[in-house]
Amino acid sequence: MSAGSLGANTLGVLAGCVLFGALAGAVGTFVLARRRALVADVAGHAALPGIALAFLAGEALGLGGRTPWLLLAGGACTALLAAWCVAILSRWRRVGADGALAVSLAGFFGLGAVLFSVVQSHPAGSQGGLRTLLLGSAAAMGHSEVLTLAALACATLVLLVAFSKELALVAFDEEFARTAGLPVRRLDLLLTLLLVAAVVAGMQLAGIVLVVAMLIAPAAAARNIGVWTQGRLGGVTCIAALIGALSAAIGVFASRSTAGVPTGAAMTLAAAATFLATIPLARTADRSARA
Amino acid sequence: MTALIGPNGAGKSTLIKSLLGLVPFVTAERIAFFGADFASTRQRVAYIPQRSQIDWNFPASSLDIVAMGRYAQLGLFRRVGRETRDAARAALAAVGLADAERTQIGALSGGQQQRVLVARALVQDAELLLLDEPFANVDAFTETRLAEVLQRLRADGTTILAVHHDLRSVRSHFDSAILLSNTIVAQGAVAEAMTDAKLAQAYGFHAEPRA
Repeated sequence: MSAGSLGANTLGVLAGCVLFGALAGAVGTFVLARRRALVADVAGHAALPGIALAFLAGEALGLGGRTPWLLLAGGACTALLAAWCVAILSRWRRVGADGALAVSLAGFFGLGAVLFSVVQSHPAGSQGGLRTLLLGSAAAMGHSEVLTLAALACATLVLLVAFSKELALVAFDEEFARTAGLPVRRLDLLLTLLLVAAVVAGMQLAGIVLVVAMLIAPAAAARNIGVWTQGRLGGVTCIAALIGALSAAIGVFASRSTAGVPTGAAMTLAAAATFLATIPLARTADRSARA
Repeated sequence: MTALIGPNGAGKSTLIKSLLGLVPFVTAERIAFFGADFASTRQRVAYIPQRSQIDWNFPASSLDIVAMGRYAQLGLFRRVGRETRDAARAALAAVGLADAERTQIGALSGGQQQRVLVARALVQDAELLLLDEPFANVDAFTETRLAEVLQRLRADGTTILAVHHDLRSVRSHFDSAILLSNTIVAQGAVAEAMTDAKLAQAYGFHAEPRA
């Protein structure tokens, strides 16, 4: 199918992907500034057990296993739980932050894999494979999924803008923020909520393994461009959102024009390539600053 | 203007951080700022952390960072307006960085970064300034410049307490000193607090050769 003959469904998928790309880029900028990039990775992987549980709960309650908002809520719950585990385990010095991240990621993902074997033995669960969730399947996105995603994206962006001043201060200088009397813990919780919202919004599109790339790669690329253009946080956030949206669009078109290419993989690849392409910009700017 | 000096591990930074509630502390005595606890007086106290603890690649201009000193006073959902920007400009001018307000913080020199942090404390209109190693890793020119800024603040009535590591420059920058080595070894005017005997006691070297 050529790009010129996009059907209504494709337009919906495109709108959903672009919206998610912009959301992930904007949230990712703050996540990266606060050095929480790997928490996004943990949150993505940790959504798996929540999705499995939500599927089983939906079947048991008669809502149907594939109720979009229920799956998102389930994924969000275990993703948050995992982020909380990381925070608790990191405080324990013998483990350290990197150990806490690795244990949480693998632990929750393992739990998800076990629960998924239960889901797949369920009569209604056999078609929805684990593979689809791991790498995403944007094309399978229906009308209600797009609307759920749009609602989530709007709420997240409103919160991000409303608290951008405080989130920026905590990211730049946590100790100063604390002495100034900002509620640092609650702001970190807010950032984690926004991060999880972006992750679950994107997990159907990019897949739970790749979704972290859509948060971090556009943000990192925008930061490189920011160094080059002497950009400030607001500008860098907008550039990240733009790169995220464009990468998502490229992903949709790539998978439409080449059969068998997963949309999620194509969009993360586009975002990662953009990041690579911007490295020379930042290096040039650094060199001229030193000269 | 008081220097907090002592050997590595004496607890200089920890003392300042525990005063501000940044690290947990165990003490029988009450910590009071202006006769009240820190929560109700934090507007009057400005803290300037060590420059090395901050991510200077953060995308922001000097003016953005200085304006952060007013965020807590602005409160939630209020944007940085003209009044805040004007105050931030005045603070940058006071530390001699008036022409660098649009410069990205990553492109500033170490000394300029330190002065941006001082300017951020200035917009708070604080009466007490707590600085952690303000003279660490800055060149001699900046050190003099920074000392001038702090001395001017002191002349305007601001109380300054700074963690300091360079014993040679205590005399030129500060008028009193607290010598710390887990406990307070000496305090008072620089000349009184920094006697050879007291320094030896704090730093653990002895004048007499061992038998």
